[in-house]
Amino acid sequence: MLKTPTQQALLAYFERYISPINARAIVRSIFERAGANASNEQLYRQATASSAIYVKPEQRDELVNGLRELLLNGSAPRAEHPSSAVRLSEPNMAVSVAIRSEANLNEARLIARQMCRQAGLDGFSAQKFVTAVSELARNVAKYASPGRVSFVDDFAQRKLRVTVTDSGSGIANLDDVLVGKYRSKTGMGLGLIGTKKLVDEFDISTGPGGTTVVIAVRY
Amino acid sequence: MHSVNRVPIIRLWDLLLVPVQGDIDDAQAEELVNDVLERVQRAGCDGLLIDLSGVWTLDSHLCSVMVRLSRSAALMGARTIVSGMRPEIAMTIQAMGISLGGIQTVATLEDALAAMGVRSGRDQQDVSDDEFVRKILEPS
Repeated sequence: MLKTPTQQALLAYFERYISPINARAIVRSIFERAGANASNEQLYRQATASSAIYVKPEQRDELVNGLRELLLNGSAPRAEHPSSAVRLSEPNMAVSVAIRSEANLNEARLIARQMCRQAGLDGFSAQKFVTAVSELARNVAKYASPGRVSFVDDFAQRKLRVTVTDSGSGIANLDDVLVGKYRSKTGMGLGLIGTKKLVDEFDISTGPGGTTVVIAVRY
Repeated sequence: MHSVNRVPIIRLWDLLLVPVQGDIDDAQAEELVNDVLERVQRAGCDGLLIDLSGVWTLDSHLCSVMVRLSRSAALMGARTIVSGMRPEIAMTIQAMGISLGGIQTVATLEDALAAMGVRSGRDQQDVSDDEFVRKILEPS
């Protein structure tokens, strides 16, 4: 995949702005939508459309100009100040899943698995990450729905970060839960402690307005 | 919709084989418990083999479902053996501190069948072949 010179050039262009993983995803989607035999003109239109949503409005012109130079004028856009280049999206491409019932857990796990694949995590590391997401999403579905699981690929720090928020009434005995003193019959306590053991970073804040858990794994 | 995703339950002599695959959602897991227990009762099975080699993720909930299933099956006279747990899944549930509540686990489906007393006929064939060869080679 992404072998032709045009694909490589586009990939290199996007990689200046976003993580290689996200660049690859965008370029792939451009070629999928434009078709294999698309002209550069068609590619340019698709590339502009596909990438527009990841850019702040004020950055759009700069991106479009670069794409035009690359695809229509056949010259690689100037690699001016690459370090301070505009950043696509805010701050990294994020995906989120609404959790209303246990039926949404599969989707959350699927995305978690996809993130692992993109970040090159596999085996035990991937399994830990997906299981952690599954546990947290389940807590939401079971006790505090509706909620949301948001995924961010923080490529600067090389971390996959997941934020799980819910609209429950908070965990009253959080400290007991986290040291393992409290364990509900349904295993909720175990889920939280277990999750903590699976990830590199674990942060939880809870109150009457709901609970937010942030986890991160390195890749 | 669920009938499409139903986990198959395969009868093997007096055993039931349940190959769990992919991502099992809670509804499917619940359905599986009901189906298996019904089959255990109807068919009077002695053993339940749950093979996890195709499972993607085993979280604490799926573990507790399996524990519940095996305890219920035990009450009905069927013993449960779990096989085929992939190393990363085993390490993950170990890291979380989840216990499988005393369910017997073995590495492969073959081991599970052996533990249930099922032996491969092909082994016996090999043995008789060996004997045959030995007879030919032995100076009489």
